[in-house]
Amino acid sequence: MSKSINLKLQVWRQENEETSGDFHYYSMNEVPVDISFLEMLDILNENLTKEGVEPVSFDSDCREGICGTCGFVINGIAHGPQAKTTVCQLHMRHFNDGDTLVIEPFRATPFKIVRDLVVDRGSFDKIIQAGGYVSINTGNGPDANSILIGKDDAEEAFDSAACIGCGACVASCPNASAALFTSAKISHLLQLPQGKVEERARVKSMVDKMDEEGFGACSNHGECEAVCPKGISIKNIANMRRSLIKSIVK
Amino acid sequence: MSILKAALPEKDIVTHVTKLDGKTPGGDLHDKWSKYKSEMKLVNPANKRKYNILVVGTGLAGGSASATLAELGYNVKTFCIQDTPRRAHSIAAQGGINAAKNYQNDGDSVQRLFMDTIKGGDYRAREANVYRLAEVSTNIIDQCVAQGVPFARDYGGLLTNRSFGGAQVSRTFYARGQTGQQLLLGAYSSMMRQVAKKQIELYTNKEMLDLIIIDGKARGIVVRDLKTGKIETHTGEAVVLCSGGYGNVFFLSTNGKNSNATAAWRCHKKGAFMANPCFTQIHPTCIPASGEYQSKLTLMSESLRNDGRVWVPKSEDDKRPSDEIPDSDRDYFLERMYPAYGNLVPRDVGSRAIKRVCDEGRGLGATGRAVYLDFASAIDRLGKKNISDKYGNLFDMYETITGESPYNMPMRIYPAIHYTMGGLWVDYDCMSNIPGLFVLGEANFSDHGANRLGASALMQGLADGYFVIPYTIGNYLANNSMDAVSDTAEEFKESVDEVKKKNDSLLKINGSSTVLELHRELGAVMWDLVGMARTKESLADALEKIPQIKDKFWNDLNLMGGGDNLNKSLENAARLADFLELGELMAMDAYDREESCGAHFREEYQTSEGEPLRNDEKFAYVSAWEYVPNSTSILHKEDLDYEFVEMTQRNYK
Amino acid sequence: MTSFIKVSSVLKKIIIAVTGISLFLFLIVHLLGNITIFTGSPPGRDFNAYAHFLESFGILFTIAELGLLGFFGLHIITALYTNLVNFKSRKSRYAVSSFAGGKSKKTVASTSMVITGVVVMAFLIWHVLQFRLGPYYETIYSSVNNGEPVRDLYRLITEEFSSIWVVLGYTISLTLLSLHLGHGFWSSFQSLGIYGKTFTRITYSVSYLLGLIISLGFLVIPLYIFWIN
Repeated sequence: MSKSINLKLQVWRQENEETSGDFHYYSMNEVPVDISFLEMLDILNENLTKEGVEPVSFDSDCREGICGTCGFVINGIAHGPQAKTTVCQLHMRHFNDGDTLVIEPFRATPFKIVRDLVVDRGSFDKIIQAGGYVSINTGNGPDANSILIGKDDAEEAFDSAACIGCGACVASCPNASAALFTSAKISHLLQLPQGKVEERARVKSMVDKMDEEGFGACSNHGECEAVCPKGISIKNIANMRRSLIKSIVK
Repeated sequence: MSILKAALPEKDIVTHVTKLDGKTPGGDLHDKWSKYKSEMKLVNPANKRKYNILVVGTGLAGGSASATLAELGYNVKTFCIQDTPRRAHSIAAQGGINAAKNYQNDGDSVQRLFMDTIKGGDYRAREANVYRLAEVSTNIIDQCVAQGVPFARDYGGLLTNRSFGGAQVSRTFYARGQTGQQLLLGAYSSMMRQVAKKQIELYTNKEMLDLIIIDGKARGIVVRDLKTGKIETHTGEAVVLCSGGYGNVFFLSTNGKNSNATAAWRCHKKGAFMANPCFTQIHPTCIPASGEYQSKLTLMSESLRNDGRVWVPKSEDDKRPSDEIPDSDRDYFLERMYPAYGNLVPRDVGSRAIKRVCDEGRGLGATGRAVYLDFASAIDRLGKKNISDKYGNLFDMYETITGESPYNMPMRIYPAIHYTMGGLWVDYDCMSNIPGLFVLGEANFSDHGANRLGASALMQGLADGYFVIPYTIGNYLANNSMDAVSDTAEEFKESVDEVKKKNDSLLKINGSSTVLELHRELGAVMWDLVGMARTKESLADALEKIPQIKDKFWNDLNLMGGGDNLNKSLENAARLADFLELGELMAMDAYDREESCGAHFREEYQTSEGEPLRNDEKFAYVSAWEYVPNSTSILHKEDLDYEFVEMTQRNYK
Repeated sequence: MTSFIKVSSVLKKIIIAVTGISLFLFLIVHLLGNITIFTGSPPGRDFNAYAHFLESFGILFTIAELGLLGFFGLHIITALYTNLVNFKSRKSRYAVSSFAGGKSKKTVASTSMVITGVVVMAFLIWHVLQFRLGPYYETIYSSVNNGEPVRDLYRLITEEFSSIWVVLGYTISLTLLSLHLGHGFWSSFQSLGIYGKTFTRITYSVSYLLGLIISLGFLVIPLYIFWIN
């Protein structure tokens, strides 16, 4: 139970958006393997504070893998080596004694580095503002059961809707593309009758916004799907493209 | 004997003579809300755009309120501490949302949901509020489906339901184990639509640090930009506080790391009453803590108790692995103790039963603080596929954390702090005793009494935001004429100085204890002495220990960094400073309430079967505490007059 | 130009996919045509006859050639522009870059499309200068063009491919082409929104194989000519 490992950490430190950053090197001894990666960083920060060094800033909230707040890149992989897992749910049992871990923030021009490993993903909000909703005012909904949706369709829509907006897709994409994020929302809504109504305007507007925010173009590396904590499929990207073609042809 | 302990005995708690008025409209219970709506004053559409409304928090309550108020035409400014509003902690709610739709034709109705909620809250909630909640519950589902929330459906395309604790009908709507996420994203998307229309101004990475009251009305807030440390001010005609609960006072809880009481507590210090702070809910099914570095606890949805069976070995000496213990040597204690509800008893009842068997020494593992939640019989009965469809993501989550698969061996669970029923006191309009300060969702105290039923938090957050505040805020604005205020007013200047001074003083302590250490220390005291079971002695003890930690905090805090950029330690320290004060009030409130009710369990007051024993004669009131600087808080009481429901002893047997 | 830039990134990828698929089809036709190198007697007769047959379309052939040039141009410009945008979208690079594995389709080929693409483009220019615009030899076959002279491309080929450097250049370029096609083939369908669990699994798994087959098919010629010389 109480097995522990020693690690070498190479952590990106950067004061704020304007300054340039660099790597700092820390040794972590006797890290219990049952704790999570963020708890390991908690220990690091406690040690640093005691030594009179400012702790490493990193973001986290729910620590259950659902809020999408946490996230950084470990040895070149967003959210680390474990598939379908955010860093808060990544446990130290997946690492070996003596490992060197290079920890970098999610890098993409639209994600400004706030400090150290903390980035601002507000540009995702802008993409949603461009049409990631159903235009309905409160109180206008018809009886919930008056809209029939087949179980399989509902499940598929859910698969797309499961996105937590953590930004790992962008971080892992060689082009820093937000295609997976954007398409997941487009795809969620177009698979439901409620969302279908606005499909054409939505897809055009959201895709344009995604470009405008400075994200790259998807060139089908599929790395996003592999690092996505919710396993969101690149099928959504295909759906978005089909939808865009339809919106042009019609 | 310390000064504090001396100040404790009952007679020293100052009780205000005038009773608090919840301003419940008259008339029959069933008609109160429709009567209110038809008689309230309206703000005409052209005037709505003249009003600025400040919404603090973007969870279910804040998100839905922002969106709805903006749709009505008000100018809304919304604030959240995260980089995007979609991260509010409502997102972590797993199991579902209740609504009296009666789609299952199993006898549900608004009346029954109302009764279940009142009874579940152990008769410590305001009747009229709870009835309204049950009444609008059905609209919530319609609204969410229309937004595109992918609720679970059956093969015919209709919505499906599951059962939750404290109810004998299936009325819980769900989206796999991520209902909170999907509902929040629904509210968030409606909100984003209004941001695009420039009807909402969105302020992210801002933390509310003070409430500004001018001429007796809430007229503005002071926020800190968490990225730059800049202190900013915002003015408005009303403030809608939706900042969530204060479970993190216990350090280990299922709340997110950033969930905090600061916004609410600063309002309290400006005069808003804090109601029933001792009503904190313990959720029975969480993953047990594994060691000293544990940073938070993870909940396993209550819905698991639909198919999971809770048990421990009959004998405390039985240390065999679970699969070697035959049925005859297992004690399915919830089924044994509560045959009618079985594994689906309300949360407080379940949690205490688990604590009891662990106290008897029958708990599992090295810590002895865990029981089994077993799916073997459900997998036999329904098949692995079926179980995986229902709970797949929860099982995966459990395996990720513990390294054990619930398909092969039973889960281990233990209760943890999960939700706080207490909060800022509000009247029927969801307005605090400070005019113009509205409080919604978990941040207020209103609807759950002494214990919240599963799947009711999502219901309340959305009910308040979508269907209550749009009416009541209009009524307030129409009834109150207000002069324009500017943030150059003296009140703002004073507050900004005060906030800056407080942050500076935190940064200057230069001691040796870290925020985390001190928070853990507070958490341990709260859990041991103000936790699942409380006694007069334990509470007195807490009231002595918390000020000691507070002293240590203000004299020995080790805080690195400065105040003019992102500094998580500073944020956490400022929040802990408030938790320390709140923790003390919680202990005080629990000390004052000499009865057991719902989640508040005073060991002195229990039935012969170990169930909570209420004292309706003396304690059928809401405790609303008024902050007094440098002195003991004053207790105001709002009597709970049950006009329509008869108070009885809860019985889940 | 501004209206081209304004075209969304998704649409640009669709342009790259449509032109890419067309060029892929062209390569197949080209490869099939190349088979004539191995047939006929004397050696080169069928090949020269095939070339003459194509040229005999006159203006239509020119239009087809210009069309092809247009497709190449569109493919290249759109791709280069997209790459520029992509480069800007991550101004500070990672110190460590890796492959996540699992469902990822990121490969050496997928991350070097612009490099392989540029090399192939340079190769194409060289290839066109070498043959289409190269020295004009003539020959006469009694059975071709009514005994009138036709261009002797076969002679040009044998001359060019007798140099080890040329053969080496072709080998390198065609190897890179195989990588380009390997990612490009399956990726085109994905860019056009054609996704199916089985369909995508199949196209992805045959994509690199197809690229290899096509490149090998082309590479056989220089190697064969070099060998028989």
